[in-house]
This record gives sequence, structure tokens and C-alpha cells, in this order.
Amino acid sequence: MNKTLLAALIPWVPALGALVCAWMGTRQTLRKFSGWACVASVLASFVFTCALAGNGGLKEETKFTVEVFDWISVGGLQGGMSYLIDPLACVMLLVVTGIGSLIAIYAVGYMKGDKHIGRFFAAVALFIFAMTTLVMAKNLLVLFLGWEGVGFCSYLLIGYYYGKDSAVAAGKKAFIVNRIGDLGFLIGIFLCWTVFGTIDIPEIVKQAPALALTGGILFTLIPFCLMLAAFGKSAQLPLYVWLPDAMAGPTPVSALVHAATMVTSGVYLIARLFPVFEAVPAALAVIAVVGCATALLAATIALCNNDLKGVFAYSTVSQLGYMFLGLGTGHPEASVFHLVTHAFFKALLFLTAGSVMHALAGQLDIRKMGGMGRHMPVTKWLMFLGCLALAGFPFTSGFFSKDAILAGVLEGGTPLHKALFAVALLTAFLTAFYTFRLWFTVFSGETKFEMGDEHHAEEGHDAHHGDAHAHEPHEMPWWPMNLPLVLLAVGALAAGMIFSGPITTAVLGHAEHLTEEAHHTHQTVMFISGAVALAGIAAAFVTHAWKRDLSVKIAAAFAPAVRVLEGKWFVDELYDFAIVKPLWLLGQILFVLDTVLIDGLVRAVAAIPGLIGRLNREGQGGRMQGHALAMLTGLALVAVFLLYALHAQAR
Amino acid sequence: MNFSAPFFELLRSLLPEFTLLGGALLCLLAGLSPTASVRRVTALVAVGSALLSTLVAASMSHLPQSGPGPVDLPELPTFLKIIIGLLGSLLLMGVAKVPDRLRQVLDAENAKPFVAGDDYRGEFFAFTLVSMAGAMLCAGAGDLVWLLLALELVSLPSYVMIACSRDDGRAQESAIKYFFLGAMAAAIFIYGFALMYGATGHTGIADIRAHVQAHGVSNLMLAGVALSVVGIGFKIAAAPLHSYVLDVYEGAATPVTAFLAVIPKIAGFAALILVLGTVGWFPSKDGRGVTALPPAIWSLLAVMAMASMVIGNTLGLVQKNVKRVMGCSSIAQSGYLLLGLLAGPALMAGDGAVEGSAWERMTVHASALASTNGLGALCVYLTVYGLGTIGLLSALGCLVDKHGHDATGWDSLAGLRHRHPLLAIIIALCSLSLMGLPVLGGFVGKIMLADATLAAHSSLAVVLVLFLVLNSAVSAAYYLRLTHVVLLGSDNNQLDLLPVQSRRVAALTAAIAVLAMGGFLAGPLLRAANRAAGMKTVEMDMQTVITSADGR
Amino acid sequence: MPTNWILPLQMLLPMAFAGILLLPIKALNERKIAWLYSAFTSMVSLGVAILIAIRFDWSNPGHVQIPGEFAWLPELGLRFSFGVDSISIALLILTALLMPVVVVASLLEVKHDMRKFQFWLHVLEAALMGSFMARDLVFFYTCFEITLIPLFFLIAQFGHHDRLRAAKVMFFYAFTGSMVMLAGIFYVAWWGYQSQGAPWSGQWHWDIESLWAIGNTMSRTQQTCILGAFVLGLGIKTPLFPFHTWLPLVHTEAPTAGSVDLAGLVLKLGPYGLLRFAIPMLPLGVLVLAPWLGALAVIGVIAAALIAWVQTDAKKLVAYSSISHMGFAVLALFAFDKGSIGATGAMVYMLSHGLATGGLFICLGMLYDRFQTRDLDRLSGLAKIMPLWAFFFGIFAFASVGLPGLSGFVGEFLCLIGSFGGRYDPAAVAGLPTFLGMAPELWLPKVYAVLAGSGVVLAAIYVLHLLGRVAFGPLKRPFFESTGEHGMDKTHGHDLSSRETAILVPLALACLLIGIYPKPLTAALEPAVRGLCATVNGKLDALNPAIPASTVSSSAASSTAPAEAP
Repeated sequence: MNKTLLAALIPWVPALGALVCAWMGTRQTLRKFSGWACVASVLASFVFTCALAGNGGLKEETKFTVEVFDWISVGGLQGGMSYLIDPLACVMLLVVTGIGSLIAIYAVGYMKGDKHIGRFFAAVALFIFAMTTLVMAKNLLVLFLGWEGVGFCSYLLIGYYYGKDSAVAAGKKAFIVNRIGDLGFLIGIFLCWTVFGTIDIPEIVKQAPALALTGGILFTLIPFCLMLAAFGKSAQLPLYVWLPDAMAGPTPVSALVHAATMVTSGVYLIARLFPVFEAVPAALAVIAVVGCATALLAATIALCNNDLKGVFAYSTVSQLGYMFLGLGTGHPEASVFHLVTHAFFKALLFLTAGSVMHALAGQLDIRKMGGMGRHMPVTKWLMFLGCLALAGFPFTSGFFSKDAILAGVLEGGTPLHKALFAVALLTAFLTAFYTFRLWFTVFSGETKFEMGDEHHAEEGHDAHHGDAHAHEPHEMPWWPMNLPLVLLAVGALAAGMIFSGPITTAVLGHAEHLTEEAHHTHQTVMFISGAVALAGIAAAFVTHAWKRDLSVKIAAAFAPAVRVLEGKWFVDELYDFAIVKPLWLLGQILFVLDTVLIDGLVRAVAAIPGLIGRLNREGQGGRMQGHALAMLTGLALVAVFLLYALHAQAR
Repeated sequence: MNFSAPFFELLRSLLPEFTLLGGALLCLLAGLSPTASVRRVTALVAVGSALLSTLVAASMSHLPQSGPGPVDLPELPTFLKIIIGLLGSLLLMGVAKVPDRLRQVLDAENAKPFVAGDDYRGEFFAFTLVSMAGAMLCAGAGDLVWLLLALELVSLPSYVMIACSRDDGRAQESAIKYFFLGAMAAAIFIYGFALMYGATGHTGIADIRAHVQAHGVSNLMLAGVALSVVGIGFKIAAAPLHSYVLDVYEGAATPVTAFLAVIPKIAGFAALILVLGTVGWFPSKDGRGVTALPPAIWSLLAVMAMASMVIGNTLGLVQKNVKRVMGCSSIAQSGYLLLGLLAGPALMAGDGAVEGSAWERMTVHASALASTNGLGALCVYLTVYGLGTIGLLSALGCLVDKHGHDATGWDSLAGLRHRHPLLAIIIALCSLSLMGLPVLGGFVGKIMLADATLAAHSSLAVVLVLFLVLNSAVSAAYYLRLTHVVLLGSDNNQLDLLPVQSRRVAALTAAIAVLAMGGFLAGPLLRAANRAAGMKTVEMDMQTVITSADGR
Repeated sequence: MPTNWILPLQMLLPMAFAGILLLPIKALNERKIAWLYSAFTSMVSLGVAILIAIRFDWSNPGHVQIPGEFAWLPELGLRFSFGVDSISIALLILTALLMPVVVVASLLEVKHDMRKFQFWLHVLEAALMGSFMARDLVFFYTCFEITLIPLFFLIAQFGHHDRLRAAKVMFFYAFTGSMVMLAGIFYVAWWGYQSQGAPWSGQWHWDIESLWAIGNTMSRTQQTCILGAFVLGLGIKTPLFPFHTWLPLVHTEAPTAGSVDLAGLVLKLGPYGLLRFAIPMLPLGVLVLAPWLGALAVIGVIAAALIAWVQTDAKKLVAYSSISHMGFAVLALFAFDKGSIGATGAMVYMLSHGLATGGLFICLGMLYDRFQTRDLDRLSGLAKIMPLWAFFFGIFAFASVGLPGLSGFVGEFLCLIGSFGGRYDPAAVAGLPTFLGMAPELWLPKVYAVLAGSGVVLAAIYVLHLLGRVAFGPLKRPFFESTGEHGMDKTHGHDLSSRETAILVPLALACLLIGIYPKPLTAALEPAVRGLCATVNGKLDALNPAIPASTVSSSAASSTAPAEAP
């Protein structure tokens, strides 16, 4: 197969798969196979990607573009459905389709017996379509198609259990908050169109460095607008609030969409257009600061969060913050590297969390769990591996990628960079701590559990598991659930060592040549961060496994702080109070103004003739004398008028 | 007075009027017949004579000049006579059964002994015909005295018509009102005529015109014309002498209301053309147009027009009785029509005297005529207004409520479509046309009026046109109300139909004509009207002035 | 044969079909038969529209094709003259497509007088077809005005509780506005009539080409005033803020068919008329008023969106969303960017809005058929019992949000990017200060586009609010004391019947098709739109002599631009 066709098939096969899944979902007999249809299409996409990657897709010299069809082209604006296959895209494609396939396989097991399985898998396949489109886009418009498309699929999947108000609200929130970012994206596109006269990404990237000095204000605004989009999609301050809520979706979705792939598209966007950002140093600084702040903030929230998926969600936000930190300090290759490793271990963590949840009938509160390891040994150790990677345990994948970012920060050398490095280190410690706090709480200690009550009965899981399990947690089957996890776990452990070089080469376009000094920095950072991770894990072990009551005491000692953290810094409340409520109120006020003032004005104008008529009618008494009087008065007026007119004429 | 050829020419030009008067005589005779079946024929005779007079008028249209008429507009009287004859026939069909509903008539029919004085029938139709004859005489008047008499001839029979149209005190009341107020208005315009005579020393309209053209307009002359215009304004129901309209229209029987709204209006506008022609519309020096009216008169007319529109339309919004609404409509439409006078006539382009049959002359191609002519627009609009009003009021006249009273309240008309869908559609069509909704006749008429007003190229023209369109918007309120009441209202079980076939036919004919006036019929009408209102070329005009001056 | 029969046929056929409904044919009194008849005849109209599309030479879409005319009043220059370019043809097809849809959708809703209902629908179709193919301003005006009559009766006879008031408000508001527009038309024609030496002097001309030429000879002030009159007449239809207050009322009271036709077709007359007549005719006036119209449009976009959010009546919500959406179209229409992207986008957006909002109204009509309410507080979670309905509702909702891949996005994106690159006359915005180092005529369109862009976010808010309330969430149906059931009669919340599915499928497919492959549409519209905007664009080109795109941003270029303005 030629490369053009291969590239075109990567997104469109899952698109077809989505249609097939949706159709199968409506057929009673075919419904249960719709999952496999989805898996087949995503897997096919993965195979095509691999073929492309093996065929030189991972080399800068052999990058190529594909024109599928002309999409939106008006008045010189060229927005064709065209793809750019270069190493960065290939890396991302591999992550998206590879991890997507694994998660889809897991989901077949997870969603078994669900009545609306067709809808689920159609959305997943559609998501892969949108995500691959996003990654392969050659121009900003197609990128935006994928960008909005993944947001839409995310909306569908978060709101999958649409019978629950919370799920609907979470989906809504995700979509709307993302839309705020998307507005930035749109404005970014407009600015690019104005400044560059094109929205073609390679062209923009080529022209950007030249405009760094002469670009003027409009050029300077571009990275800031696009940054807003990235912050929205990748859940950075101030737009991160949707991601924790997005956990209302089925867990495979959280793994795929809200951990491994979609949320990293902001990172991808900036990496893709990095020259534009590089040309505006202030933008990079903002990204770094925001990323760092987000990382810290999310980590603090995760400290006191008691929701199994919530902790991972905040940790995702936090890790994304790291990636932005890396971007902001000028190291997109480190960010993308972290993106890849993060995809492995975060997907693993979410899926194992999903297993726990599945076993406990939807229970998410870690305070109601304990000693689960006895019932679910495989899950326990799989999650352990994931936790190690997340915590940055030496020589796991997370360790390497986080180090790459940290070293990059330190390389910057300015006081700002030093401060950022300190905060990042603190965050690393917190990460290790809360990760293992969770793991120890759930899997060690006394066995205790409370079954959740939410969606099992409703969504028909019982039909598949039978009654026996309802009171007893159980291990997941190897196929199709645990086996994909093993692959992910291998990735979580080994990806760091394997992929570091290729990814750096892919993103930078050439192999990285570290100076002697940089190499030294790297080694130092590795040592420090390894120590920090170990310290965090140790602290977690002490407070949550060894002496559990210690944690209670600490919490009591810092009660106000804990309350703030448990309240998630009350950011949601703040937004509600400062933005949502006022807007709603404004809507109401405008509605009243609209009906009273504007419509009132219209009605007032419309009432004038009637009013004149009513005044007029007063003269219509019906008596003849009245009529005569009116006529003579009219005549007198005419006479006066005539005299005046003659007078005016004479003058 | 010598029996010279011109005198016979003159008599021959009055043939349509004579036809009507002859018809009136026949009606009187037939109405005296003791036999009910003969008496019943009177209406037929009346309609027949009206149609005959129309034919006579039409047959004379090929004559170069068919009567004294307004100076320089030789064909206008003929055109107006045809219109009067046609609309009059429809009106006669509408009023045909009016006397039949009177108590005396019913008694007479019900085998009581025949007493001639009790039967109104003959007189009623005779009066109608005489009034029409008066209107025709107005159109062809050549002298102020003649005009005065003709105007009174229009009015006097109509007083009687109103009074004897219903067995209702209100009819008599409105007849009295109409009479007294009409007398007052007549006093005003007679005084105006007197001043005109005093200012120029002539009563012949051509003479006055020649005098004014030679000596300019004196203030006395202006005052005379102004008073005449205001006084004649009574006939056309224009402000400021409009206040009788609502009461009188309400009091008369509905078909008679239609008569009042149409025939005196045509007569009044014919008279206004004559009167105004004495002080303006002279051929301009360059021979390419006509001069304007004196500014004082022009602005007086403009104010009258605007006031009529505003008063009529706003009053229409607050009426509870449909006939009063039609009164308001009449006032407002006069306002629109006055725009035609403000625009004035245009010179007839090219050779004015196209030979050939009446039809050929009517359909002569437009390029030979000036495309915008205020008086032409006036004529067209008078026609479509007349048709719309006749259609609407005739349809309304077919309806009575449970108590046998005319159904004229909004409520009593509700749900007409359940009772008689055709009448409902007629009423809707006619009122939409009066409103000026496109492709109905009223829209074409309004376009013509607006075009003519603008073409007259006055600084105020834009304001006047804005008044026209905004008032149309206001008028939409009551016209649309009429439409949706008859078409949408729920059946109230109160309406009864009168068994008057001819009235229904009149209404239907008028409605079809209104529809046609927006489309294929508009062209011929427009061409005919523009021809009729087209002024002759300068040379011919001067010739006429000289001959008439010599003839004295 | 000088006059091709097919265009008049497109207009006359519906009239003839309506006429047949007036004939005394007993069978047509039967509800179902009248309905079937109408479904058939509207399909015939659709067939004619397709024939026209086939007959049309798509290689030259900006050119007016299949012209013809019938005399009306040649003395006054009045002609029924017609012809189509790609814009007209797109709107004709939209009309012909929506008509069978509303006819078929009316089966349950219209419980009485089906024959009258279908009669008025046919009249409306004829009038709309006429306005979209008119090449003569009075002919356009005529059809434009006539649409009011069928709409009035459709609403007043088949609407909800306060129907008569709604119908009257609609009629008077629109009629008054169009009367002012008529005065404007008169003025232009008169200006040509009285002008000396021009080829049109001394005659009345109403055909577009002459009026364009005449309008261009008028002074800036005159053009501005006339454009004001046009904006009043057409802006009320659009509806442009602040002339919009009639729309929510009318939509709430109108029957489904009325709402669909109103939102999908009648509102389109506004921008269409502005583009077809006003913009080429009054370029100087456009230059003066464009920043103001842009401001009104932006206010409309934001205010209407916020108001939509707080509605509890689903239909009112969609009605306000219409106002918000049409704001985008007006903003883009008066942007005049270099490539006419904005105006093209406005046309695409109109079509898309017709499909998506039409679909939403139909969906809400189906709800009303079942539950006799559209109250967001009384309905919830209907996806549970009506999944197919929710599916379609979702498609139309997201099409109207502007999700890429659905029709709304194409139009919205083009509108916004066009507005962003918009150009204003420096003289018209001279009073404003510089901002970000840019002269007002440079920053104003960008600020407008950004502000209007916030409408994109707000649209997501209110549409998802609607979707989340009605389709998702815990199931809630209104309880009816009278029947003791949730829902009315036997129809308490079953999913779509095959008839209903058949209605929605073409609309949804059209949304999807335009969203995924809009190229043929935009390629066809673009030359026509560019031709209509050419005069204004030419004037703007003269005002801002070729600033290279890449240096637009530099403050040096921006500061010289106003200096070069005459």
C-alpha cells in the first residue's frame, strides 16, 4: 500500500468503525459485537500507523503531506482536508492508536452487558478519528476539526450515563470550558490568517522565526491565543476545572480521553507550532509559569482527595502541568516524551482503578476501601507499577521523562527557572506521596469495602457477573481486561528507556547533542528527583501503611488547610460565584430589558397612532354642532395657514 | 345663447348625462306602476341606463374634445364619466334591494293596497342616477356656475338616499347631518367661487385660467381657490371638513355608504382638478412640462393630504363599527389621492391625438405617454379605491345579524367564513387592496401615486411619500383586523345572509376587478388614465385659450 | 423560446397547487387526503427545483442564468423578471427541501382545517420562491410582502394560545419595516428618474442592474439614508438587534411548520435582500453604516445568546438562538474582507441555520405533539424513552453550536474569519482611538470578531443547557390530570415513528453533508457573492491601497492607512 492511502486510512477507518458500531448498536443481535468492531477499526488504524512509521514516517527527511479532499476553501483561504505525516505526528499517532487499541480491548470487557454499548464504542471510534485527525492535521482548520471533534466525543463519553445529572453536568462543563479555549484557538487561526496569509502549519512554522522581530502586535498575540486553547484542552489553570469532573464517564474513557490522549493535545499543539511560541519569549514564560502553578495546585488537591479516579484526574492535571513547564522552558521534546510515558502509566492507572471500581460496583471513595490486594492481586501489582512510574521511581518511564523536563528547567538558568525548578521538585515529592497514599490506602491494611450502588443495576452489569459477586470483590479476567494492562505496565516501566532517544529525535528533527554541562545537569537532576520520589513514597508508606493513625493526626493538625484542599481550593465555587452566576444574572437582566425596554419601545411606537386616534375621537361627539364647529375650526386654521403662507411668500 | 354648432357639440357631449337622466325618468315612471312586477324592474332599468351611459361615454372618447371640461385635459371628462358609469353600475347593483327592506315597501308587497307615496322605490333609483349624472356633469364642467350646480346635483339626491335607505332614526339623523354640513361646505366653496369671479371677472374656467396665466395670481384669487378647495374637501371627505364622515357613513344603509364613499369623491376630485387648473399647471416656458401650483395652494393641499391620512388612519384604529372604519378609510384614502393633485398633470409626450378606435386609443403604447402623471395616478387610484370600497361594503351589505340589523360590529362579523366563505374572501381581498398589499390593485395605485409625487420633484415630495407609506403601515392595523375577523373568527351564529343576489355579484365583480387591477388589467387602465390626464402640447393649448377668449 | 419556462414554473406550480385546494373537491376535506396531496405536490416542487439545479450551468455560478420576464406595468417599469445565480438557487433548493419536510411534519399537529393549512403553506412557498428568484426590486418586494399573509394565517389559525397577537405583531412589525423600505426603493427609482443625462433618466427602472447603477450615483448621505430604510425593512426580517423582539413571541406561538418556515426561510430574506440589493446599490452608505451594523450584530449575538440561556420554553430558547445566529451572518455580511470570505460564510451560515434550526423546531414540535409542553422544567431525560429523537435533536443542536463536521461550523468559521479580516472605511470610524497600536478601522473588525466569537462559547452554553435538560438527565414527563398519564393521549413518549424519522433524516444528512464536504457549495456561492460585494470591495481597495497581509500588523502600515484615505 502506498503511504498516501495508508495515511488517509488512519483516521477514516475508525470513522467508518464508528458508523458500523452505531449501526450495530441498534441491532439487538449484533450489539454485543460492536465493541469488537471498534477494536478492529482502531487496531487497523494502529497497524497502518506502524506501517507508516516503519516506512520512514519517523524520519524528518521523509515527511510528506496528503491531500484527501478540499474541505473549506474560500477566498484564498486554503482549508483542505490535508494531513502532514512527520515524526512528531507519527509518535503521537502511535500513542493514540496503540494505547487506544489497548484501552478499547479493555473496554470490551469492562462494558460487557451494557445496553448502550453501541453508542459507547461508536463514540470511542469517533474519538480515535478525531484524535488522529488532530494529530495529522496539516493546517490549523483541520487541526481544529480534530480539536473540537475530540471535545465532542469527550462530551458524549462523559455524559454516557446520561440518566445521572452529575454526568450530564460534567459533560456540559467539559464542553463549555473547552469552548472557551477553542475561542482562543479560533482567534489564533484568524490571527495566523491575518499575519501569515495562510493557515498551513508548515508554512506558519517556516515564516514564524522571521516575524519574531517584525511581527508586530498581532503576531505577538498568536501564541497567547493558542495557549488559551491548549490550556483549555489540557486542563491548565485557569481552565482545568472540567477534567476532574470528567471522571463521570466510564473508566476506559477516563483512561483514553482524559488521561492518555485528548488532554495532551494542548501539549501537542504547542509542540507542533513551537517556532511561533519560541518567537515570543513572553509567551513561553507564561506557559512555564502556568504549567508549574497548575502542577503544584493539582498536586495539592490530589493530596486530600478521596476519590479513586479523582486523585488520578488531579494527577493528570498535575502531570500536564509538567509538560507545559517543559514547553515553557523551551524543551518540547521533553514534554512530548513525558506525554508518551504519561500515556502509558496513566492509562494503566485509570484502567486498574476501573477494575477496582468494577469490582466494587462503582465505589469510588477510597476511605471505604482497604486491603483490596487480597481480592485483586493482579490489579494490585499492575497499579503498583503504574504508581511507581507516576511517582517517578528511578528507572521507570516517568522517572526519565520527568527528569528530562526538570533538567530542561534547570538549564534555563535564570532566577525564574530556579524558582520553577524548586516548585517542580516540590510537586514531584507531592506526586510520589499522594500516589502511594492512594495505593497503600486501597490495597494494604485491613480488608474493608463497601459496594457502590450506582450504575451496576442500572447499566446491567449484573447480567454478566451474576449475583454472587455483588457482595464480593473479584479479580478481572485476563482476557480481554488484564492482558492489555500488562502491555501498558510494560510500557510504563520500559518506555522511558526505549523511547527517549527516538522521541527527542522525532520532535527536534535531529538527535539531541547534549553539551557537557547539560549532561552534568541531567545527572544531577536525576539524582535529586530520584531521591525526592523515594522520599515521597516513603512518607506515604509511613503515614498510610505503617502508621495509619499518623495521617489522621496530621490531618487534624492542619485541619483548615485540609478543608481548603478537600474543597479543591474552592475554585469551582469561585467560578460559579464570579462567572456563572453573574452571567446567568446578566442573561436574566437582559431578558427583562429585552422584553420591557426594547419591546416596550417598539410597543410604545406602535401605540402612537392609536393614541392619536383616541385623542381624535374626542372630537367625534356625534352632535351636528360639534361637527360644524370642527369644520369651521378647520377652516379657520386653513385661513391662518393661508395668511401665513402668503406672508411667507410675500417676504 | 345661440343654437350654433358648438351648442349642439356641447349637448352631444352631455349625452351620457342625458342617458342617466332618461333612466331616472323611466325609474320614476316604473316606480309609479301599481304592478309589483313592474316596480321590481326599476332597479334593472337603473343599472341598464348606467351601463348604457358608460357605453355612450366610451363611444364618444374618440372625439378630440367631448365637452368644455378642464382646460387642456380634453379627455379627462370622458375617462371620469366612464369610471363613474362603471362604478355607478356596480353601486346600483349593490343598492338594488335597499328600498325592499323598508317597512312601507314590505307592507306594499304584502298585498296592502298600493299607495304611491308609500313606495320609495322609483325615487330611490332615480335619485341615484341623478346623483351620478351630477358627478358626470362635474367632470365635464366648463364654468364655475355649472360646477356649483353639478356639485349640488351630486349631493342633494344623496341626502334623500340616505334618509330613505333605512327604517331607522339614525338614517334620518345622518341625512340631516349630511345635509346641513354639506350646505355649510357648499357655502364655503360658493364663497370661494365668488372670490374667484371677483378676482378675475370670469366664471368660465378657461377664461379664468387664461386671465390668471396672463396676469398672475392675485391674493384674492388665491383666497378663492383655497376656500373652494377646502369646501370641495367636504365632498371628498378630506380634512379639515371630514368630521361628518363617520356618523353619516354609519347611519346610511351599507350600500348607500358605498355610494357616498365613491361617487361624491369622484365628483369632488373632478371639481378640484377644475378649480386648481385655474391657478396652475400652465405649460412651462420651455414647453417640456407644466408649472406648479402656487406655493400657498400647494402647501395647503399638502397639509390637507397629510392631515387626512393621519386623522383617517389613526381614527380607524379605535373604531368599533366597520362602517365607521370605512369612513376613516375614506378620509385616509382621500389623503393619498390628494398626492395625485399635488403632483399635477404631465404634458402628453409626442402626438396627443392618436386616431383610432377607443380600444386602440386606450392601449396605445406607453412610450407615447408620459409615464408619470399625477392626475393619471389619481384616476387609477380613484378606480381601485372605488372598487375596493364597493366590494367591501357591498359584501358587508349582504349581512345582517339575528335581529335583522346590519352586521357592522367587529364581533358580529366574526366567523363569516363559516357562513359565506366567498363573502369573507371578498372582504379580505378588498381590505388588503385598500391596505396596499402587493399584487392587488391598491398597491399598483400607491406605486403610481408615489412615483408621480416624486416625479413632481418637490423638496417635500419625499416627506409626502414617507407619509404615504407610513400611513399605509398604520392603516394595516384596521384593514388586517377586518381580514382576520372575517377569515379567522370563530362562528358566532349571529350572521344571516340577505337574499340579494345582485349585491353579491357587485361585490364579487369588484373584488375580481381589484385583483385584476394588480395584474393584467392595470396596464390598460394606467394607459387610459395617463392619456386622459395628459396635457396637450403648447401650441394646441395656446390655440384653445385664444379661441375661447374670442368666443366670449 | 426566449423565456425559459422552468423558473416561473417553480413559482407558479405551488400557486396552482394551492388553487386546486380552493376548488370544490370533496375528497380534499379529508385531513389525510389533503395531507397526502400536499406531500405529493411539495415533492413535485422539489423535483422542479432539482431540475433547475440540473439546468443551471455550475461552471459559471456567479452569472445570472435562466433569465426571463413577464410584463406587469411596463409604463412604470414594473416587470416580473427573474433569474438565478448560485445564491438564489441554493435558497430555492432549501425552500423546496424544507417544504415537504414541514408538510409531512404537520400531520399530527394540525388537527383541523388541514386543507387551509396546506393552502397557506403552498402560497408561502410560491412567495418565497418568487423572492429568491426576483431580478426586479418591486417584484422582490411584492413577494417579500406576500409572505406575510400566509405566515399570518398559519400562525393566527394554527398556532398556540396567544396566536392572534403573535400573528399581528409579526405582521405589523414586518409590514411597517417593509413600508419604510418601500419608501427607500421609491427614492432610488426616483433618483434615477429625475437624473439628467443618464440612460435611465425620465423613466422608472426597478430592475436590479439599473438600480445598482442608480444607487451608485447618489451621494454618501443619500445612500446612508436609503440603506437605513433597507436595513429597517430587511433587518426586521433578519432579525437584527434591536428589531428582533417579535421573533421570540412569534416562534412560541407559531405551529411547527410556521416556525420552521420562518426560521429556515423567511428570516433568510433579510440577509439575502441586503446582499442582493442593498450592498451593490449603496456602497457608500454601506461604508458608513457597516461599523454600526457590525456593532448591532455583535450586541445581538451576545445578548440574544445570554437571553436564550435563561429561557424555560425550549422554543423560545431556539428562537433567541436564531437571533444570535443571524447576528453572525449580518456581521460577516458587512465585513467586506478581501476575499469576501465573510459574505460567502454568511450565505453558507444562512443555509445551515435553515437546516439546523429548522430541525430543532421540528424536533420540539414532535415533543409538543407528545407532551403538550416545551417547558424545560417539566421535561427531562427523554433520551431514555426516545433515543432516536434524542439522536436527531443532538445532531441539530450540535450543528447549531457549530461543531466542525456539521454544517454550522463551516458558516460560523467563515463568518468569523471574514469578520476578523473585515475592512471599514477609516472615515466612518474616525472618532475611535487607536488600540494596540492599530488604527480604529483595523482593530474594530477584529474586536467585533472576537466579541462575536464569544457567542460560540455562549452557544455551547445554551444549547447544552437545552440538550442537558430535555434529552438527558433523569427521566421526567409532565403528568396530565385529565388523562392520568404522562403525556397526552396515546402518544405519551413513544420514539419516532417512521414518518417522523423520514422527516428528520434528510435534514440531518444535509447538515452532515455541508459540514463534511462544503466545497461545492462554497465554490458555487463564492463568485456570486464576490460579484455582489465587488463595488464595496473596490471602494475599500481604493481606501486602503494594498497593504500586504504580512505587514498589516505593523503599526507603521496602520498609521499610514488613514492618511491615504481621501
